[in-house]
Amino acid sequence: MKYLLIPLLILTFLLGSVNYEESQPIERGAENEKYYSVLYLATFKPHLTSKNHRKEYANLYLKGNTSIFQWYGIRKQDSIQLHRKLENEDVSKYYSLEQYAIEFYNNQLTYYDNIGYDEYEYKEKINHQWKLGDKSKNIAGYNCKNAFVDYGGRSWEAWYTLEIPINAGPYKFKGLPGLIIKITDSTYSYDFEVTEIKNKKKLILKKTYHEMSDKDRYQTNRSSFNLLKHRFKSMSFNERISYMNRNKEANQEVVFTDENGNEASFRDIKFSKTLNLIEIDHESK
Amino acid sequence: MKIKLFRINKHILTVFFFGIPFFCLSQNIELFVTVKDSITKPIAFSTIIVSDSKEENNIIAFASSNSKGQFTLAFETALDSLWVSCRHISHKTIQKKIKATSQSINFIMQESPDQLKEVLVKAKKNFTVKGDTISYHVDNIKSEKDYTIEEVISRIPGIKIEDNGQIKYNGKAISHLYINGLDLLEGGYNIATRGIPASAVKDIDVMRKHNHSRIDIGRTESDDVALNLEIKKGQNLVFGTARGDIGDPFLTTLGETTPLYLKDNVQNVTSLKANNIGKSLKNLGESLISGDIHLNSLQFQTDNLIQLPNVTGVNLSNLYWLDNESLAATNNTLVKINETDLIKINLLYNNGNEQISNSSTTTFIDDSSNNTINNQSRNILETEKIEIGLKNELNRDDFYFKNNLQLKNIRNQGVSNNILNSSTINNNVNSEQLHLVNSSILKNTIFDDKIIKSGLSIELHQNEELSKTTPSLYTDLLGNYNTTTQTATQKAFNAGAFTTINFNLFSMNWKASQELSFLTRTIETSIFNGPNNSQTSTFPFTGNHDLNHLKTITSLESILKKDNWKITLRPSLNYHDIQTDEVLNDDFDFNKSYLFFNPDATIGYKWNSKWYTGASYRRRLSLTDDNNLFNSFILRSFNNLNRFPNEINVTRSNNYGVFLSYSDILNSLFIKANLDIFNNQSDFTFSTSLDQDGLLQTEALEIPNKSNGYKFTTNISKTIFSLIKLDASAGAEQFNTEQFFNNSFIENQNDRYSTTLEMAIDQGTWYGFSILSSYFYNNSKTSFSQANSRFLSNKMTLDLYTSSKTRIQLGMENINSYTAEQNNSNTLVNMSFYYKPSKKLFLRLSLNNIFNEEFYSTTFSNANSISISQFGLRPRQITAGFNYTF
Repeated sequence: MKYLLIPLLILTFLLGSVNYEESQPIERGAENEKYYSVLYLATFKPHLTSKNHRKEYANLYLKGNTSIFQWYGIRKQDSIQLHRKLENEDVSKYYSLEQYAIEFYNNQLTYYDNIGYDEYEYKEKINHQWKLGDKSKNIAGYNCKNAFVDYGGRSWEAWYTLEIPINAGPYKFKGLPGLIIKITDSTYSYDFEVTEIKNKKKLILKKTYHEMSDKDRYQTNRSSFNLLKHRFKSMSFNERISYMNRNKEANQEVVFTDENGNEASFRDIKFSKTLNLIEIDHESK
Repeated sequence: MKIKLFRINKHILTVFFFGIPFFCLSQNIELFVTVKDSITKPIAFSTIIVSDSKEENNIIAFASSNSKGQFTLAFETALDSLWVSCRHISHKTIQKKIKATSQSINFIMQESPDQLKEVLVKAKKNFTVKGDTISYHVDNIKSEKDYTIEEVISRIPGIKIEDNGQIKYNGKAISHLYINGLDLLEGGYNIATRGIPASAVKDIDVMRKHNHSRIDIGRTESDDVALNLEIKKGQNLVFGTARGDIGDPFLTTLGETTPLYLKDNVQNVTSLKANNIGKSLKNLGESLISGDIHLNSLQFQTDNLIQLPNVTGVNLSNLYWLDNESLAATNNTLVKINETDLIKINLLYNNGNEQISNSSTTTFIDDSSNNTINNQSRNILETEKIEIGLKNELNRDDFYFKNNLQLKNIRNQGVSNNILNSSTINNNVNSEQLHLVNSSILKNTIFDDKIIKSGLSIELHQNEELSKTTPSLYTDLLGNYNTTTQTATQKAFNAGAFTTINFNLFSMNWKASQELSFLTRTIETSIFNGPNNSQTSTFPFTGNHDLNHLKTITSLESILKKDNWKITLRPSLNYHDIQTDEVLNDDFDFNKSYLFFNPDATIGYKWNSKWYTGASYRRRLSLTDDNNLFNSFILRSFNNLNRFPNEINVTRSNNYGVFLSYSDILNSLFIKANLDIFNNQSDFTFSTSLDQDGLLQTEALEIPNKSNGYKFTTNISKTIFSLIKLDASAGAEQFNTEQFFNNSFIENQNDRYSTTLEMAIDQGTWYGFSILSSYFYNNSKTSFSQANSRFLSNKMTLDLYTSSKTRIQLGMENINSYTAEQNNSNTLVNMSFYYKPSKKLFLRLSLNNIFNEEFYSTTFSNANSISISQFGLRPRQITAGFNYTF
């Protein structure tokens, strides 16, 4: 048996080494810049009454002045839908509470989100009036400085680092002389913190899958959209089903219960008073 | 783009008295900045910061360059001079001191890829949580020395890997190991985990509440945990690992290679392994998963009637004591026909010669005397195994089907040379087993989306066994000749089917199941001293036994969830119809039917997402195992003549349990504790007699037998600072039994206590350290004696990373055994030097059993016996070898 080893070892070295590579789509953006992938851990309370903060990951992909910010699970779902239909397993594995994506080009963003079965889009010019603070601290291994801004009805404190001189951040935040490592609103309802930064050979800096085609998507503005989103999210389960089927002849009958099997109570709960969206300045309108 | 900064003075008075002069002196400044690289190409998106100091404590203004590398900064300041810095992610930072006047500034930046790298590695994330899936990022959790993916998996909090490669998550064996989402190897996953290089894997996904069949997703609750290895893109077409070693005593060798071919529609893994270095390969490819519970319940137990010589040492790594020549080859292929249908083929060949030397002293205590068996043995076992399998799986959203056809042939040749109480005894055991099984599982939906699962299993089994012992034994019974021969032939046909259905009723989840199986089996045995069985051709020396066993199990499981409570009831009705026919003795012919009701209830309370507690009760009525349902003599091992009861033994057992678990994934802390209290009652009591030659004879007496006890186990697993893994477990148990020994009735009380501590530190610094310490205490008490034994073992590894390419590993295993008569301590030391000339290759020089120890000792006490065993060790060994990743 000892002599069987010799052919075994020779075989090892004869094994092939042909590489294969995945094809990459072409993106827009500055040619000399590199691609970066920043992963943020978002910690947030979707309802004021939530006992615990919800934690989800979100990706910021960027190159130069072009970027896309999208929830990790939804990005995965979009990627799958480039190749095939989503299956139940995909949806449960890559579930995300929010579905929006934010594409930036220079200081203009395009915001995509779904309400019911409909997809909405609006454009917005961003020019945050940052107030630089005088504090510094180490977050995730980076020396960070603080800065303040008001946006969407909330006051935010950001921690950015000069060690990564990239003008970018999570959600709609950018405009600081370094990458935003952490940003928290004054009520501690929303917080984004970097957990991973990588450079990549290529990234697609657009939302890769849309529920509706460009011409069918509802074009709106930030204010109208936020009002609509607030109303939809405030609806009870029954009202949402009715709203989603408003153009159909008959409503679909869906039986859905809470874990205790209480059908009625769950279906009729309204969330308007407890809802805690990231942008709340529509409420005064 | 320009952004202005306003600083706020905190003290109004200061502003009033001192501020005005400064305001009067402040001036508007405009800076026109151009940023270019060394070949004067504009650099877009660089950041310019104007500050009052070199340290940039107070930023006065900042901006980013446009696509032409230009921008204008306008601000007010009262300072005379300013610090201006220019940054870009892939260039070196430049800082200049300028006069506080409007001016044009040109920055020429130098590229700096190193700076970029430094920034990028700072933030590390070890895992990502996505619902019930936790993805561990291999590059972040693996240690410098980890070579195969198994070593990285073992660093995941809550995971423990057994010696045979079985992976357990929180104490429960995983149900599947996927490679890129495909279950190529099923239960034989240790081929992959021990063959895939750690560097080839991107993520390890731990999938909790896992459902393999898609039809179950969203319909069936699952406690299963599965792992998925996400292979990095850009691997070679064929990739894997190879290892070779060669050394002295001449010729000590090892060769292993596991090439993998992974494409979207075809996966193939080949594993070729051979060694005589003390590494057993007999478990390679064997199933490490529990499989379908109903299908398992239908299937036939293929145990040998005659025990094979023991070639297993205890409490010490194989490489110190196992003399072996082992060869194994496996090939597994998966072909994906489309997204839902696939075919798998597996081939396995295993050939091993394993040997061990053992010298043991076992003392049995009865009320009048001590009886001692001294045995020095050299056992050799040669095993040849061939296995061929064909599997077909259709895994669709609304339908699941799997068919599994397996043919297995196992041949064993065992030799045991003994000096038993000064008598030389030579025992040879041969066996050849042929087993063909075809099993199918089908899942479908009926009655408005309810899942119905059915299974079918058909088995053909044949086992021929032969034992020859020289000189002859049990001569009072069998006559005095040169040789004792025991033959045993089993032929069996077993067929079974089951159906289960899940449904909801009264706000509860229900699962009804029905199993039906039929076994028809013939056992022919013969024991004789001399050339043939002419002297002992009558029963019970010779037996020809037929068995027909019809079994049905009807169970109805219901789960009620209310608030944080979960109540599970799982009562079952078991029906057995047993018909036996002993051709040579009509006294053992009977036809009996039994109907048992087995209640089973569990109540659990979930305090929050981390804490879970509960209690359970289980009552089981069970019958003698089919393999023991014959009444002729059988020489189980050369010194143990056995006779099973001439009746069916009914055992009634009650188990009361409480449990507690804590699971905090984010903080990597897992705690588990179980307490079980049990009592059993059976219809028979075993009687063992020992003669002066050290020969045992066991038979069953029709006297009711009682046993009871408790078992407590607890385990804590914690990962600290990402890379220090701590596992601690403790156990206590008591088992009280009744037996007859040398015609005396004995009540035994056995108490066992154990603690285990495992710790591993490897923080990417100059050292890595791991320790595994176990302590066992056994106390066996009868009305007239008490014996206790203690055992402490320590296993330590210290890695010294002497440079980026070299590492020294020191290993030590130390075992200490203590009894009233003697204490023993043995320490085995090994050392290896590793040199890594490239990422894909490392070279190794190893020295094993440095101090050339010849024996090690262990001890164990049970019931009225205490034994001390001394195992022979492999001699000092020096080897040179390599590991290569391709």
